[in-house]
Amino acid sequence: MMLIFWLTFGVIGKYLSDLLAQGIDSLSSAVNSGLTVFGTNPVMKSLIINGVFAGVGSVLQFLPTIVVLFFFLSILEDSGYMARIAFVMDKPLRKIGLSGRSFVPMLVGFGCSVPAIMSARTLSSERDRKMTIYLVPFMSCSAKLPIYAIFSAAFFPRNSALVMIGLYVFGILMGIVSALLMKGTVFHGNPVPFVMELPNYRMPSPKSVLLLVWDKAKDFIVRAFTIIFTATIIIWFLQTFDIRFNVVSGGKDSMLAAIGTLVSPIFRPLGFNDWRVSTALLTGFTAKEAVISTFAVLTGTSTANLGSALANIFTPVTAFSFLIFTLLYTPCIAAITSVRNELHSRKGAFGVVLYQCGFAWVASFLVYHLCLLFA
Amino acid sequence: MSLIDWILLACLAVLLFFAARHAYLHRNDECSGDCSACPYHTQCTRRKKK
Repeated sequence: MMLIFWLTFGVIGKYLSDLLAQGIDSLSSAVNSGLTVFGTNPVMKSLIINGVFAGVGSVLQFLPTIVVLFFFLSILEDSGYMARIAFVMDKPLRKIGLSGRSFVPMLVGFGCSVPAIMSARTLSSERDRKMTIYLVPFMSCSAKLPIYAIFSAAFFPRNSALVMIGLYVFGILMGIVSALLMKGTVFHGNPVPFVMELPNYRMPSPKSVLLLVWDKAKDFIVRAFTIIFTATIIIWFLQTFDIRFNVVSGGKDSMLAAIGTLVSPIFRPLGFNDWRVSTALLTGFTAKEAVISTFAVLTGTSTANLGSALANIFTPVTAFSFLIFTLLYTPCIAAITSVRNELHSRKGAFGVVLYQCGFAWVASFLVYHLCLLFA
Repeated sequence: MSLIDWILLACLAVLLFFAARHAYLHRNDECSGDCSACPYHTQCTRRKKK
């Protein structure tokens, strides 16, 4: 798995993502020149270049990373290796109150929390099912990849792959901590025995691997051009106009700044003093990729320069604290809807949100102050 | 605003309409695809199964 992560985030995925980012920037420059030649209104030009291109482009550049990651994961799955990992993981999972059956939903959660939460239905015990649903959000989903990639490249350039692997491992560790807390409090009792038929080892089929990769790539592109596109335009609108719908410069007097400033006191103990950080975290509620597109719009930078723009908002310590918070805080609204549907309870879904946000706040607070102590 | 501005605004409005329409039509889709790995694809409510 470490080899897969290194190849994805440090070598192949990184190279292809950088290439795509340069391409998007070139296209953006060409469109900018064209709009200038045609004498386009500055506000309209800002919407297209600083809104749509910056926002959607900042997310699209991570398509190669997603493709490479799922290429390797689908090879592992298709070869029969994953089934054996689930069997091997049964014993350690029992120590934290789960059975090996919970491994598959957890693993699916590394792709997306929504099917992971749904696949918890395979667990016959209600106790095991509920506990798995509560723990799936700790498995960092692929939507958070763009955030990790941008921040680790900007603030930890020499160790970016290591930082990203570390984040995934930390998420798993926090999941274990949560499981132990839940085992002793809310979810008493033992998990049901785990019996399964192991499939044979086989050569992965190129067709099924490519179909899975295409499936993931298509979903990612569709999300970028629907949810992220819509969120980007809304964010651009809120940060370009004030409450009287006058155009503002700099964004500090905008409607978005007002909303972000209202919420930002909650995040000050974590080292996030800038209103743009709390605003980006709020938009992450809709889709985690929106955090990066929000930063791109709010800093008014191109995709390739987003890292250096973030250096004006974060220090390495606050960036690390931000990464921890992003890793652990509430999943997106689609995942929360799935939790509500699977638990048949709005209170359950609300409980997951509160628990995740509270856990993320405490973890981020501890990490930030510990880093300040030793930095 | 000139003619080109209105044309661009209309294009963006159309794209926004289709994005919102897609989100509305797929509002009950409770997953992100990947039907091959899903144990519930036989009971799926997605309009277009993959």
